[in-house]
Amino acid sequence: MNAPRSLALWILALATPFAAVLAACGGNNGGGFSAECPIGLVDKEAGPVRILFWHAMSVANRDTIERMVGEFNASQDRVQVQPVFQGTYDDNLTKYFTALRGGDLPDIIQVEDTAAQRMIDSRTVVRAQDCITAENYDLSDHIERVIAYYSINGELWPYPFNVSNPVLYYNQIAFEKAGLDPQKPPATLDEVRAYSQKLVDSGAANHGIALELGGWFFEQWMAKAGQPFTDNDNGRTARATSVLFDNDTGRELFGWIDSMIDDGLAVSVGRNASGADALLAIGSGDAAMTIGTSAAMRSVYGVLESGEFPDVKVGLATMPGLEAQDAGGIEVGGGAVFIISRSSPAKQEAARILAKWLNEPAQQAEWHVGSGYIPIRKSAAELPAVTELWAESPQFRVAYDQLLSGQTNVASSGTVLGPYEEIREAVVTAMEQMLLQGKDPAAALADAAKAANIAIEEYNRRIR
Amino acid sequence: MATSARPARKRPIRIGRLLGEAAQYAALTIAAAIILTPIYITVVYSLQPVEEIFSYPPNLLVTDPQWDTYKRAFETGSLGRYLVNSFIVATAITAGQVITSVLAAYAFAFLRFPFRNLLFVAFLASLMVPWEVTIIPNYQTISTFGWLDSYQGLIVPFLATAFGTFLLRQAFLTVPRDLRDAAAMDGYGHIGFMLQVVVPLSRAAVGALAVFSFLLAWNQYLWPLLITNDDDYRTVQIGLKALVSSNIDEFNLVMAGTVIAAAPILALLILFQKQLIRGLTSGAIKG
Amino acid sequence: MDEVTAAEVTIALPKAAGRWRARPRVKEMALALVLLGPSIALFSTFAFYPLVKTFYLGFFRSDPFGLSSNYVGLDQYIDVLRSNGFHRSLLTTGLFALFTVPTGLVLGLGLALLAHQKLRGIVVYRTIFSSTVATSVAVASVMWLTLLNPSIGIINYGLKESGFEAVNWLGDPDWALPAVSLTTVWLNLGFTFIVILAGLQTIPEELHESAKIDGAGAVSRLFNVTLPMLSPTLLFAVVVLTINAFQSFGQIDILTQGGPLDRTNVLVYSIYTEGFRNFNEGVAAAQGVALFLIVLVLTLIQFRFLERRVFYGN
Repeated sequence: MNAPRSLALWILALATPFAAVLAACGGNNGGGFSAECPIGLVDKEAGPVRILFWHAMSVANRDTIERMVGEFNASQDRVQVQPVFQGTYDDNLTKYFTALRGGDLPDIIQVEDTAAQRMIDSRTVVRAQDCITAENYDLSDHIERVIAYYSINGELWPYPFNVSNPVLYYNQIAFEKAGLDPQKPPATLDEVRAYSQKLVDSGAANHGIALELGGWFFEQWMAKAGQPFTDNDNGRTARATSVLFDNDTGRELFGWIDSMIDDGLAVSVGRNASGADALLAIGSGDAAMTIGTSAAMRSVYGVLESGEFPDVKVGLATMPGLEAQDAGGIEVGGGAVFIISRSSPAKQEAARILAKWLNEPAQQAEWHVGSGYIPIRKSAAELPAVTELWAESPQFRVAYDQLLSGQTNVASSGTVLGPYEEIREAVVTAMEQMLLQGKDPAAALADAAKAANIAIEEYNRRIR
Repeated sequence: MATSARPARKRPIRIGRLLGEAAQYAALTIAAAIILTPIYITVVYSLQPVEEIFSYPPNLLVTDPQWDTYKRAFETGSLGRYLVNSFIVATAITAGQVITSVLAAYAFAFLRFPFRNLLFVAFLASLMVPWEVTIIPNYQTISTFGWLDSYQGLIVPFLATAFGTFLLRQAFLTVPRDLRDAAAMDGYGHIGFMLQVVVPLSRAAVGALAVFSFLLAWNQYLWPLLITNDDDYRTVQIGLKALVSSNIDEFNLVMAGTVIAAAPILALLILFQKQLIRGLTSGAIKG
Repeated sequence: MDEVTAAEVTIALPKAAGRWRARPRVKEMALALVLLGPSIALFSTFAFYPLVKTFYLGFFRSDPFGLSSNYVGLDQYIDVLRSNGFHRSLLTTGLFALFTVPTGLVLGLGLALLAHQKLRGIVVYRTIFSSTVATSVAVASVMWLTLLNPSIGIINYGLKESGFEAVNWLGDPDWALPAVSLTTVWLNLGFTFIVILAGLQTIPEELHESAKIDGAGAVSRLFNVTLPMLSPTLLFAVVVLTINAFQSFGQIDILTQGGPLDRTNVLVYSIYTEGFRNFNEGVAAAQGVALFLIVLVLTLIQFRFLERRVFYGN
């Protein structure tokens, strides 16, 4: 579909070279974009603008998102959205990057949090900030932590959409058996250790806590401790060139994991192949606590409190960190939606209309209730759908409150990084070496940092 | 020869044979039980309420079948339409692979031409090209042809297979020389010989090839995912992926989807089993 | 009986042979071209053109998005071939093939022999033995993921009940590759069974009969009649299973993602990671070409050594 030749478009076209220069001066995290924002093009179209939305939500979440998209389509006739399920986040991204080499691209795509830098580097996505500025879109009602995660040099790139973060799941009945107060879950890693000792000693569970070997949790602990993960302000003022986790905090964390396993207070579920191994450990009594994503909340309660597990009553708490008071805070997880720049300006605008709609408090409330992802609008917390849910099941508040607590600073913004998966792999490999081969925690961490830095260097070299 | 000794050994032989048969049945049953275990567990899990799946000790019996799971799996994974698409694509690919393999295997087994062995190795080599190497260039090729979101895109790249050529070549090579010569004397040309003698003789191998070709096509995931967006062309494995989630309360759905996706194959297997059983009769050599 | 027929044919042979020789060679070549044409066309477009393109890509270092690339000649190939990661994944792949091919072959042969009897209800058993073909790699992996689950899997349950300790099959670096191999053997069992059974069907009954009359016992018949007559099929099975082992990806992706500690990081998984995660086309290309050549050489060796022993019955 060709963009209509309107005066507005000509003015924008003339403004492009200037915008490009301005954009290029905006740091080397993906400059070179023209900063025009298509406004008013959709209204000029005779019929509805049709756009393609690639997402990675399956089963219940897919039902919810596609129902919501249906509501969007029904509520107006300027934009019609076709949602397409593209497998997992990885499949979706693979398909996107493959399509870049000569296929059909979507107009808006849901991408995992860790893929942000890669999307930007592909130079095929629109920078949301351009339109946010042009339209004066108000971000003050958005949760700061969320905006911070997806902004580079203060400029927001994708529109956030589905946010989750890790929480502590624990078995209240096991706590009682161990003489612990089920209403007072552990708030620090030291307390986790103390509680685990009691749980094991009293026989309430085989281990205190089930730990998955994952990079995500490590990043969260660093963020809560106020430690940036990579240099250049976590890659937000300039492209990251090296990791910073090989420090005392990192060593303390690795040492904690190592000693907990060594002392039999924690059990490792490895890479958690099934996705549910840690939770299943609680179900079988192998452990009484675990750290997992808030997005699994509904299903965890659904299964563990179905009556099949009479010895389990699920409690939910914020993720314990090194200190009781976070110098930083929990960082954002989940996904966001990027608008593709190779689409026509009219379609870009249509995609933006959808993205903004998904960001509205009413939709975020509906999404929260339907999927368990955290609402990213503060005013959503006041809508009846949400307040009712929270009154009935207060555990749904926990992850939301977590995002508002602590400080929103460089550390809690998390890192933006190209070869994210490789860095996580380096961290997990180090954990495996530490736990399965008896490698010294500090040495394992140092090796992880080395491998990570090589990966970052390689990536940066390829991008130049 | 040993006739005079026979009557004296009648009873021991009968008991011996009975014991032998019993032993065979025992071995067969044990093997069958082991092999069936993963499939059995999948079926059981597809029917159990989801929390029962995670109970410990594991519950291996279905006491409260949740047929609703299948309904949900069908709807959520769009399995109805996808099954039809998979069927169309798989049948076309099977027909194509059987035909091209018969033709090519015949050439390799019965014709003489320069570079025959080299060409056969080249055919085999096509099997060794890692799929990651082919998938993106093929995606681009298909895209250039304008075959994204189409049956042709799903079918054409897979119409030939060195695997099939290899399998049938091995089978064709066991056709006795006498037969070839006799056929020549009876005035059979190559095509006649191929269609009326060789293929019927190699029925078992051709049947096996058909089964495998169908399965290969049926089980494809990444290729259909890459080249289709339109639900009208998507295939069953994509539907299965749509049922996979890390939410443990949805685990039974993927089990049900698995059974749904495997059922048509099992049905076809039973059908083809008859073909595979009807092997050679020894009259072939004299015929 | 055969001698009589053969004699008839021998007498008639000169005429027939003359008939065959009378066909011009060119006609045979032309026919060969026609018969092989479709396959050649398809392989060229969808297998060899990508291979050549990939080989060419190996000479460039590129960015992940196909935006730019620069020529580095053989450097990338040399780097890849020299890297420790490459050697390790080659070793892992070799080990994986060693675990899966002989096991799969022997088990498939055993099952086929067992099911080749004229027993009542044998059809049921044959269907069961071939049933693993009905599962795709992804589906089978999910099934085995459940079985191997450290907490609720029945394998560990069985071990614990028998007094042994539970094993974290997929998380233990020593057990991960055997566990993945087990899944693979199960996966391929149906295929091997069907192929070998089909091969068994082509062995004429009379050969067994005449061997029995000559006083050969079951074991002797197995080694002197069955296996030689089965050898073309066995060659096929070995070659295909090996090629398959070198290309096995799906089960590793679902079960272990190459871990723990890279113990299941076979070459084809490494290629996937480079090609589809990091979109590092150049490195994936170099590894892909290397893998292709290795498998090609291996297959040629198998043919060279094994086809000598294959008895095509002529």
